[in-house]
Amino acid sequence: MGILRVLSSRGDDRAYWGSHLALAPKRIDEERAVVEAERIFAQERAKGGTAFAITKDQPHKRIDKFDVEAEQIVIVPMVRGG
Amino acid sequence: MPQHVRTNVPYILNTTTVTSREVTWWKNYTAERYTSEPPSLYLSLSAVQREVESRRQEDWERERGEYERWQAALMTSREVAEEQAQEVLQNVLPAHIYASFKQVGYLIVPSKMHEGFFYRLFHTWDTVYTQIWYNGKEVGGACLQPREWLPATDRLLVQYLLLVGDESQFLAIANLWTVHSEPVFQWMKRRV
Repeated sequence: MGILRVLSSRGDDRAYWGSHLALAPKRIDEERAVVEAERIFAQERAKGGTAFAITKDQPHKRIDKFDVEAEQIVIVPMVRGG
Repeated sequence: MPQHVRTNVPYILNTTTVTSREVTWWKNYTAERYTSEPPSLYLSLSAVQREVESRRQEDWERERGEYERWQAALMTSREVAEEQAQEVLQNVLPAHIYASFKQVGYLIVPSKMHEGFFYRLFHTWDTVYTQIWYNGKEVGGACLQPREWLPATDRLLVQYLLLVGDESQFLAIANLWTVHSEPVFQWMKRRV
């Protein structure tokens, strides 16, 4: 599994692991890919982002820890009242 | 050449009788600027004025060109980001919800916390709107924004994910307002 998408001014920034690793622009081994995705997850959460696990045919749910089994994880940046 | 002649020099001078020395200077001046001294205070002032005006025009054109290039680059990068955001939306939303969004132009999210309420989300090229509906009519709106600039489709996705995944956080952060002076939001805020 998975794609980590961080919503950004470019649309999104992505990290891949598991079965989606073939989509990654750089060759990277599987363990390092998971570690890298976890690092980005922790970094964005520390900045105040909120993470959601997206799995097919299941409702989207908010997550606080990196879920390696998730099909996709979307991190939205910190929000405020408009 | 006679001592005094009428020439076809520009508008300021063309009704004025000028000396042949002035005409010579004018020809030199237009051929190569500042290679000869102006013959009189009158011509000197008008030359300075023209030079100032010309430089001001050049500055303005250069600044306008820079601004237009900057704006074009910004718009291009934002259009690219918007396209990517649409791809993200398509990949994140369930297929039937995305198909419905493309068809009707808005997303419907039923409230899990408040029975009978639902949220209607849509966006223009730069603004996301969240309407709150109850009992078949629009009763209010909500506004919530990311702290950094995101394409409008990404901002729509942010609101959708928060409403689906963490509605209480959405209601706690968003600014809420009513459209029919109904005190529903005080009630909603109390129950968050």
